[in-house]
Amino acid sequence: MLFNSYEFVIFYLVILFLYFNTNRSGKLFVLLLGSYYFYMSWKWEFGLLMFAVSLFNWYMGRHIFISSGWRRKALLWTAIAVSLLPLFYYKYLNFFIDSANTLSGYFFSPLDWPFVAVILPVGISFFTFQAMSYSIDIYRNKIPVEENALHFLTYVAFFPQLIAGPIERSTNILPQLKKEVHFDWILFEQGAKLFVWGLFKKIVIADRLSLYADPVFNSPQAYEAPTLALGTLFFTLQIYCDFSGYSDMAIGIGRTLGIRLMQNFNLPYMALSIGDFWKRWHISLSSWFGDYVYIPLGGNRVKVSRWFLNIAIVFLLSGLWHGANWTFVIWGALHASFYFFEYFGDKLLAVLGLTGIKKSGGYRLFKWFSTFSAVMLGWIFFRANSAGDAWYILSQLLSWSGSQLWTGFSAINFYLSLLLIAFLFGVQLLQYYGILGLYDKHSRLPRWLVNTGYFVLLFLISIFGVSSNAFIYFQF
Amino acid sequence: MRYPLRFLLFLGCFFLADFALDQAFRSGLERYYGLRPESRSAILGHSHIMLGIDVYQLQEFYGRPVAKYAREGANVHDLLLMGRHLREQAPELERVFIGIDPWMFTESGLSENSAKLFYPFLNSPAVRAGISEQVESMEYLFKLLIRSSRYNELLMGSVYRGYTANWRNLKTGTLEGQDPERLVKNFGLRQIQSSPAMKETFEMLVEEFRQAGIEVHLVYTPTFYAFNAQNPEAFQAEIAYFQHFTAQQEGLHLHAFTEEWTREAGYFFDPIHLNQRGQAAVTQALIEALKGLK
Repeated sequence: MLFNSYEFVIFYLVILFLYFNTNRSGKLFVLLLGSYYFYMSWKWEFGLLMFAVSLFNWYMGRHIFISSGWRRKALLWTAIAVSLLPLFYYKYLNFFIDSANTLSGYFFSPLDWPFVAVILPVGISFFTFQAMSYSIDIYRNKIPVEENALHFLTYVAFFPQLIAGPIERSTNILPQLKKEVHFDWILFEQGAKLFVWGLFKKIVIADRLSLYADPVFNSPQAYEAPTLALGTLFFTLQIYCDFSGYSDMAIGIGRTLGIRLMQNFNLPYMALSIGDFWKRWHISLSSWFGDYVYIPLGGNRVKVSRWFLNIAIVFLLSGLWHGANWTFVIWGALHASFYFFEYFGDKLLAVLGLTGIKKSGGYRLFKWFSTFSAVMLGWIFFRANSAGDAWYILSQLLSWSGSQLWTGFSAINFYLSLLLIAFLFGVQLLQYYGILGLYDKHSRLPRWLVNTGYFVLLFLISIFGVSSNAFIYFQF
Repeated sequence: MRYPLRFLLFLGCFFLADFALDQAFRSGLERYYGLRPESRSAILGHSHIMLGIDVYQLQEFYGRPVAKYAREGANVHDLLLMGRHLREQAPELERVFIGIDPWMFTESGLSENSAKLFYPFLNSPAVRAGISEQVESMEYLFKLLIRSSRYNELLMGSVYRGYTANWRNLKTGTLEGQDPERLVKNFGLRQIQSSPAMKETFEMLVEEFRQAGIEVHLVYTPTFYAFNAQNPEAFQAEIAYFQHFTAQQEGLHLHAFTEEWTREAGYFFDPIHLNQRGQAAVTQALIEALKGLK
């Protein structure tokens, strides 16, 4: 059940009605049952898996809480290992089999291990990380143990963010689930506006750009450099609008139910460095890796060589989190190398005594352009069907072979896409300079103008919305 | 103002704006397709005839406006629905030119969501009856409720053309100097596999016009010879079917631009569509044929 489907409209209206017409415990049941219904509408077995992972972490959390010493540590590692088992089985087993078969062929006779027939449960990486973070936080004494299993199950399964994030923390959601919530028109209006903006980004921009980007990435050999460059730009904006669109819709739905979810994107394509980009892109995942991988590894309070290793580990794991394919690993490695490159660039400026130029407009523009270009380059590997395809696209772009620009299957669609990109950048600039507010920021524009803008967006969605495609991040 | 009142006001404004947009867009579409009571002649078909017949030349010939109800990807079932819709909108129609081709009875490769083309005309009983069973009930209800959602960017292009009274074929490219075989291969092959059910629908389409006392002309605008040569026997069999079907019924006319027309590379924009030059030449030849019938 996609947010941009008719079924979801009915589902949401039923949930909204029941939620605000029951008492506190009734609300919890509505959210829990509704969330499981939402998830099981893909495949009912997936619901059992999520239930098992959630219940196991809740149970382990209680035992970690009352244990101490080596037993406490052992329980934590057991919780982590068992939670990761389904993720490994469904998402990574075939990847490892394939890699082992290929690698063995280089050194001796190929292993020829057979693949396992599995269907990847949607959003498995999201709910696994969310459930696991609870056990880790209990171990670190950062949060009190949750006595009520229903609260915990609802926290993991909360339907707006279940499939594609934001990856929430129990510290944010559990207290909100325990509070008495009444229908609030102000929150409802905020939530509805966020939903409309997210829906616009998803079905008007992202799905339209995919009509051009998909054929280009599916058979790159058929196109010349200008088309490949434009296809890469289109995908760069497609994935942003797709994923941030989903997040905005999730946050919006949450708000209409009186629950505030964390912000997941903060104008990432306005970033002036790779480090800055990762503070703005998929914030909930970056902060998860920061809190549960990078900091435990020592963060930056270690020798430089060890710090490099920590950075590399986090980026490689982040790549692998996105998908069981070497293209994602290369994508992670590329971002790590961009990060190091920037570090050495800053060092060089310091050695040359040129740190003063960092404040100049020209330098900022250069940083924006280089960051945006580096991120685009990374997306080539992220989207390409194979590493071979990605190298092919890259080589064509570097040698700039050919001059033909494909304008897609429909000229109207092509020019409309360019218009939408210009519109998106215009809105992002207004948001960047604080003229147009999003989430909890206020707009400097008159209220009537902002409201008219949302009103117009509704009609643009109605007329120019492309039929419902699944969200890219569902596969993760 | 209290929030519930503001919400109601918002809903009121939304549905009012939605209704106004629908009226404006639909009026543009009806102008583009010529779906008006004063239409006496009409062209009906898909993209072949859309690019193949020049409405301005025909209007000059008849001295009256000519409707051009042609849509990309329309199949025989759509044509039947379009025919009913056309008669509903133009009750005094005297003649119709129906675009035909040897691929029109082939089921594979047809658009599965062609019903969406008709959403703007959901107010028409003929359209509602024709598409209500083809689309999902939720989608159908949504289209009934939110009128602006019945349009898309392609239909908006037609709305614009309707208001600017622009029916020109904008394709100027030609196939001259291109390798025919490579051209057809790149364009994509399409086999002819005749479906009896689709033929039956086609015959029903013609019969309904004839029952209404409307003169019917079947027009095959040429397709490039190399494209036709993919399966020459089936191609000839379908042309023979049209000839046989026409010969059986009095007052039914066939205008098949075959043979030398299919070899004029300068007339084609791509293997199945004519450019401006091709359109002008074919329309002139059609008019000459019509003069002969008078």
